Amino acid sequence: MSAAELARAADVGALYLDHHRWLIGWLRRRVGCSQHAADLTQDTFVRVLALRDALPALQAPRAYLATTARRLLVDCARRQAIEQAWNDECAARAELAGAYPSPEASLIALRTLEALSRALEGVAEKAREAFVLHYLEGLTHADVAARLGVSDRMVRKYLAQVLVRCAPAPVA
Amino acid sequence: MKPWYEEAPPAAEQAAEWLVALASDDPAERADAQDAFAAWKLADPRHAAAAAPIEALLTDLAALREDGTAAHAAQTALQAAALATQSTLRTARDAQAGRSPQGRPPSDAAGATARRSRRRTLSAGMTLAVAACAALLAWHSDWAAPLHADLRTGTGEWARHALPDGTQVALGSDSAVDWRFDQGARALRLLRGEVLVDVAPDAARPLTVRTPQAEIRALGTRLLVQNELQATQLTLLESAAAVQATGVHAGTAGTVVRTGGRVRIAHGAVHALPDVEAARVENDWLRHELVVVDAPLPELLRTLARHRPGRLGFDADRLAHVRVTAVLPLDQPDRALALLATSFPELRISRFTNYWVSVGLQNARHG
Repeated sequence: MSAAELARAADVGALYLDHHRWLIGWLRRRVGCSQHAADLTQDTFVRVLALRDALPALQAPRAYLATTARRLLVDCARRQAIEQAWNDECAARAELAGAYPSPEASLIALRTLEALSRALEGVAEKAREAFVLHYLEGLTHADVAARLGVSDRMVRKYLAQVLVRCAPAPVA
Repeated sequence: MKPWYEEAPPAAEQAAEWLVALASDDPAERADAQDAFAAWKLADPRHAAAAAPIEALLTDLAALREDGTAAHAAQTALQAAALATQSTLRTARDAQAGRSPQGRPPSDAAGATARRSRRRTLSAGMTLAVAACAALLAWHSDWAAPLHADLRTGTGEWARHALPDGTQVALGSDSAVDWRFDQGARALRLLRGEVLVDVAPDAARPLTVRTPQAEIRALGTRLLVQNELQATQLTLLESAAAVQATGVHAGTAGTVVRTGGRVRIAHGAVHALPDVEAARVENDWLRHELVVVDAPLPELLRTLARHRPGRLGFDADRLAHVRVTAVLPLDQPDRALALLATSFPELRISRFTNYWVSVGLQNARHG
């Protein structure tokens, strides 16, 4: 560990001591369960610790922790929703075809969907539809344009707009 | 001077534009783009680095698309994720603003409505949040259970079974039931969906129906148990049964429900609902008809969603004030949706794909 890393770990340690009780309470009010709140608090600090950048000069440490925890809740809900929907669909399909995707295929699919879902978050509805119709349904640009009642040019713009968001955020 | 981003768009943006061009409808443009894209990536290692993650994602997506069922699963998953994310964010925001479910006392009727709908938002969000941090293992066993259930139906299927003791079990769409009978007890477990149980009398072996929220004890009786997300609804069609919420101390007498009685069990409590006409409920249920009288639209949509393959999206909060009275064919959910649209012109039903239908209001009012 470098001196900088040590200093960071000490910062996070202080942050933990000062605020972890408060964060458990904050999370408990959201998830309604002390056990889960305690687990999530742990995960929140792990996430803070894993951040590469220096801890921001924490004027409002609780707001910072709350933001991190909120992000964690959203990621958690997203992952769970995706897995559930995927597994439900696979179960239904196993019933019909007797075939279940291999664990590897499922893992890749889930990872892809999670990345895509994150990219689609906050994207306008039409852009989102365009993306799904083209990349998942395999419609041509012209068909997507007809379906959405926009120009080809607009469809291309929508697609590019979502694709950009599929690249990991640049390191500041 | 132009701002820097207009002069040199970030590499990811350029990469995105190339990748769109690569899927152009025009074969000539596709061919040109192929060469130009390759050259662009060679020109600067940062270009290739920016393009790589997007290309990788598109490769994985193409694999999903080629497998038709997987593409369907993927769409369902994406929409589920969007809903989960929205609702989690909303909960976090509401909670942050200090609006607790207990809120302030309403000053007028409008306030009460707003408060109720907020409470509904909150509880939906809470549910998701709680579910979200459940251990993954528990979760897997949860979804896997219906696969191994003794009796189950797929979306849009109905089935009837006779159990060895003479008890008749009718399953609604997308439902799963386990049963275990031994010398001293008969136990049914409703894992998902809804079941009508016509219990064969056997004083020595009471029959219990368990759901995640409730435990129902019956001797000889006919009852309809419906399980939705986080709640169980029990309707007594004949005779009586005792019901208690899961988690309540054993030995508690529970609530007795009699013919025509209906209760809802959620969050560890049993709530009485208005009585119903038992014979009619049974008849409608067996004929796969959905009869609702002055019910909130989201409730009806949730039921329809369980009867049609694919995703039926709607914003429950925004539609909560719409009340409907209707008789709809549950075994033809798409016709049911069409009927709804005819009777309620203010509804807007958009069909993105066959699997992805969304219901909203014509002039979506916000707030």
